[in-house]
Amino acid sequence: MAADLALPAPARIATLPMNAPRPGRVVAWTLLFLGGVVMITPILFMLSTSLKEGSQIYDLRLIPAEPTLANYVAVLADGRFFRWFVNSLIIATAVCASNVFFDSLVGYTLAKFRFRGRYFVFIAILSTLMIPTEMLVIPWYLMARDLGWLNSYWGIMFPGVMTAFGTFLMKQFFETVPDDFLEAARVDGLSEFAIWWKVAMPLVIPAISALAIFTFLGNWTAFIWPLIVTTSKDLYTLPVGLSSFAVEQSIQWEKIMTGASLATIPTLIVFLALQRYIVRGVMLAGLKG
Amino acid sequence: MKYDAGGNITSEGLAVDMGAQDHQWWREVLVRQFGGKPYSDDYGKVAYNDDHGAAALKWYTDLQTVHKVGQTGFMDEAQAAFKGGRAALIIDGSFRLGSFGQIKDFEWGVSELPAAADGARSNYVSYWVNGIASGSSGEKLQAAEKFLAYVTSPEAMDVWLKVVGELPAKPALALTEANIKDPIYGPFLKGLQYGHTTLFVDETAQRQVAIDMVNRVLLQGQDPKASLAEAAKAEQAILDAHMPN
Amino acid sequence: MATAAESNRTAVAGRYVWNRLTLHHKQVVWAWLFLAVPVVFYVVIRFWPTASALWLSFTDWNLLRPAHLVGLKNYVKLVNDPVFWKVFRNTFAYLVLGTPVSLVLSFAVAFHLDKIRFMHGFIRALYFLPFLTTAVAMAWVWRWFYQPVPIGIINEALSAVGLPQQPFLRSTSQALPSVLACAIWAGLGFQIVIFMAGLRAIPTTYYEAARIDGVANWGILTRITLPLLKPTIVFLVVFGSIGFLRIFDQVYNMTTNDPGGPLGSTKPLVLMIYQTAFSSFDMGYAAAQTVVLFLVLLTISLLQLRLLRDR
Repeated sequence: MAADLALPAPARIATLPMNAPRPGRVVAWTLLFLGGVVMITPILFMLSTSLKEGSQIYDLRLIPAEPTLANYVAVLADGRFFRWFVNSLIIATAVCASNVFFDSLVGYTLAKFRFRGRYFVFIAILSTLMIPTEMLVIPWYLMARDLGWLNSYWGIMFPGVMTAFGTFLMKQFFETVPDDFLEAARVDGLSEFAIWWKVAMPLVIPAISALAIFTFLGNWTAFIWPLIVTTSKDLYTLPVGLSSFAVEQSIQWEKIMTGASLATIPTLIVFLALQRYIVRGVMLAGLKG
Repeated sequence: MKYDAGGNITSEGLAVDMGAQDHQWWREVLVRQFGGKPYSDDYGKVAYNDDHGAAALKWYTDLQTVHKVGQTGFMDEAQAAFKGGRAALIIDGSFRLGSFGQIKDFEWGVSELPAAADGARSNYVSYWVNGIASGSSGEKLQAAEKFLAYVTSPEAMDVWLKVVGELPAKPALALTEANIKDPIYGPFLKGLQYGHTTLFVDETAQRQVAIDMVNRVLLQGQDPKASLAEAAKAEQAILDAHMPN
Repeated sequence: MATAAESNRTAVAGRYVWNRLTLHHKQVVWAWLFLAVPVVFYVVIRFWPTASALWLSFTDWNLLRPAHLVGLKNYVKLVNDPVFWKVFRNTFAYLVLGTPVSLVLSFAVAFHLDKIRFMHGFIRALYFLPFLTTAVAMAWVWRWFYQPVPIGIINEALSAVGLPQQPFLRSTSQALPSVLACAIWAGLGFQIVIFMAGLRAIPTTYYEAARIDGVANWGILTRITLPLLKPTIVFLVVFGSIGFLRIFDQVYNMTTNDPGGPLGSTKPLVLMIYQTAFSSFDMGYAAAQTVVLFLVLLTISLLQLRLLRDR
């Protein structure tokens, strides 16, 4: 992680005034650090609970009195966990790729083309954020049933292949791309598709990375729709599978926290892999192209 | 209740939680024991809005405000307080037995709900109804019939009793000699003899009315009588909305 | 052969027509070409269900019997429902408290995080981690934090320094901010990532130019950073507001034993919709609430886009 930070950071730091008061920076660092500790405290408790026995979970000490890996063994021994994990991975990755392509394309079109109906299309797409998923699931279910999409990966994925969130995000970032770059490419005779894919996209890599992280995460943790569209335990996604630990009679919190801790691992990997691109400055990429 | 040096509760006598099973206790047991009646016979009209009902509510809220034997929200959930060994008593359903079976740190037992001073007893009982959707046909109908036959079989009910703890619906299976003598199932079975079943039209909404009724007294200091009248009005509105006109 | 020649001719003719189009017209054609698949998707997967919710709101559908049109009955019921107005106020409280607080916090963190070098990657990860976790599990951890002693660590800390215990989720006035704090916490990492991406997108040449002109730190912030961050800020204001107006997960999980908090003090509109639809099965009434939520969200978003003058 240190290596990728070294790239853009010095250039930025160098532009800071050299007479900036050192104590100020120390105070800022200390506050940021303390804030960060507060931010992860609940996560530490999640981990801690996953290491406790069921009868100990309300003993909210951070360090478990008798730490045990029994919950991890129990969760992983249930062979279905791995299956759910793979299902989630396939779905989140596929939806993520689809969103990066379509949301960027639509966002770019809405940001950089001038045509009648542009604002209307934008608002219409944005308005789809305003209906709670809870109300959409019934029409979606009927649709999936009539088209034979129940109990399939596609059935879980189809409502999310594009999102207003990603479109809006990408539109905002494409607006910061200077028109001159695109004009120059147009003069060079590139097709509009090539201009978008080869010139504009590399300029917004930080935003694409952010979009990829969020889309992956959103699908990784999606619950209501996968729950409704799948009845076969083989097709459950991880959150749906984990929820089966919470039956009405007794909610096994230690198991849920264990599953939640395990479920965080892939999202952490995706985040660590992609976050470096968020750092890279736009102009750096632009100058290379 | 026991307190630590800082005045914090460390253990309580009775785990009180209207959102758990206390609302059933209040409706079908306390109201009757205070001489009242929760609903009309067809459960279409609220009948607890009188002096008896008010006395029952006051007795229930006094547990916390006056006698201080319990505190709503202590240990987050009533069952957690009991399971954690920090509440001496809890009023709960037999479905919880499976969960309580995991308790290792202390011994516990089951008894019938207390009778009123005049010996009046009551209990709340509920049961599952399994059905098949009217539109099903062919293979699906056959599969559903097969499943229903299994679910209601002695074998399935025995599994349910052992894992969850809920008593079988078939009297022949529930009222066995062994179950009646069982120190855990026995009191539940005795309770069945004087039990009442509330005919809910929307249990979640009706439970919310009861929770709010108690919260108005506990959190806002409202007079139990006024709170009860408000609850009766709200619950009657729910009943009216579901009654065929 | 003939067909090949024909198609060749069509292609030539097509190219002829295409070449005669002005640059602007070509752009319009390209734009709709790019939008073709997405438009079909949005119409079928999003607008059609939305339209069906609108239709349902004029019916009495309850899943069991076929829907009958009942006119404006559901809306009249809604306007006369005191719970609805309480929920409406709560929903707005989430919005007016949550949006500014989370924006200021996330900007402050992103702005300073952007500058520090010592343990940069580690500290940044601390702020992002909450966003990577599951809402359900984390809402319960927060719920435990808020409990009275012996299980709540916040109250334990308060009593350790001699402060009185706070009821938090058991109070009609503290419950909403308590739930909101968890929601802000859960979304902060997301907003920080977006702000960081936005800050990094500002060409460094602007800063250098300002530096040469001798602009002070505060001036750089207000005259360069914030104006150039405008698209990012617009996005976060609009999207953040939609998020707070649609708050559900945290409220639902933190108050399961009294859904919507004591005396409904934390209940937002989406929870009311959820309860009406899936515990009372009054789909028509739930649809009417959804339509109201939709109109509120649309109005607020349009207002924000207009005030922030996003072109």
